[in-house]
Amino acid sequence: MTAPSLTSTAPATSGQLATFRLDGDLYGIEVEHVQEVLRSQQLTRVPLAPTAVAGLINLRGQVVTAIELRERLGRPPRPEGTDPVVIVVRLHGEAVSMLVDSIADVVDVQAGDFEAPPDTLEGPARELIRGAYKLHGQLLLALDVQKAVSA
Amino acid sequence: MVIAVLRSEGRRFGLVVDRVINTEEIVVKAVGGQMKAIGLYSGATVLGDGTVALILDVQALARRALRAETNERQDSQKAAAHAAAASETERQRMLLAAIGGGRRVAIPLDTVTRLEQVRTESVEKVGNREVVQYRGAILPIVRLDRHLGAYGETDREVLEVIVYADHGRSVAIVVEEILDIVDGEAAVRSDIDDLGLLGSAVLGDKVTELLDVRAAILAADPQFYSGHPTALHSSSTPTGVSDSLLEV
Repeated sequence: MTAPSLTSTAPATSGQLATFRLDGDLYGIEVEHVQEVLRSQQLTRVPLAPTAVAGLINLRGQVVTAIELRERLGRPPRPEGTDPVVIVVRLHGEAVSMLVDSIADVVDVQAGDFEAPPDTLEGPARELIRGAYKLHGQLLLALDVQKAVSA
Repeated sequence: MVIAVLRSEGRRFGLVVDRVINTEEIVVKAVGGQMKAIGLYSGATVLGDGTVALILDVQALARRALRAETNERQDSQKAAAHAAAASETERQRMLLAAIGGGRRVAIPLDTVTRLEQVRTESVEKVGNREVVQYRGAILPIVRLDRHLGAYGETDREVLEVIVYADHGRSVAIVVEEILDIVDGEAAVRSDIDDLGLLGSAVLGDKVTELLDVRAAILAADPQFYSGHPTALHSSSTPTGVSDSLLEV
């Protein structure tokens, strides 16, 4: 049940999540934040940037920062020879992109299926995961997209 | 090895690069907050082939690279002259400029906004005043040689200009040549001065005149300080400038 004290950004909400895979796990972000999804793009590296900044991409003439979500979540680097997928999100009018392994479906989630982050979740990911929705047979980890891209 | 020589905030420094590819007219694109936070890039641009190129913030780069050097020197200085550390004023850097007739003038670097070159033919007139168009504004000019009674060359094609700006007003101080930037720490100082000066000091082994910046600015723009009377008040005594320069 939704606690009445929770704000509108509280985790346990129903709605649609755009989901993607990262290091074998399923993650989701609110579908309204997603601007577009692109195949792997040429990255311009940025010296002295935080390690999670993979580089800059050219999005139809607009320069957009790309955040490596594996790095952000403390996961091992993507295996050699596999290209990331770029999810472009728009937050406060600014486009930022996240590199993930592969894109999956848009999923309807119910507040009743929501649980706080599992205790087994440790490290940097704990800050960035709002909680998990129990889907049939697997967990959908709800990513706090705002925190995830503020590397 | 290729070295790109840059000038930032009155100081020249070299940037060791692998290779110079091209010079290009570019459009600066905004970058996200993460990029700005690094403090080394002023933006990015998209090149003709679609790749993204970073644009270095030269001033920030210079400050970052040169600060370490300055700190080292300040540390050794502090150790040597600990007893004499009566003043807490930061050591002031001075821009040395030739004004003609073999005369050298020192100007506190913190009053310098930019160094520019202006073609003599672009100098225009407002009454008896010389002005130049600069960044969408009319910039009054003071020629330091005339202001200080020196005899500079008159047939130069390009004027070396020190731009000073404060509270949204700017003036251009014309010198003959920018010579150097030195620490404003003079072993020998004197109150021997002349019109438009605050005294003299030995800087870089030579007797150097200390410019009364305020008087020079007022010669170019009598209204310069009238917009903010507090500044007028606090610096109305010329010693306000020279004292902080010449602490030894």
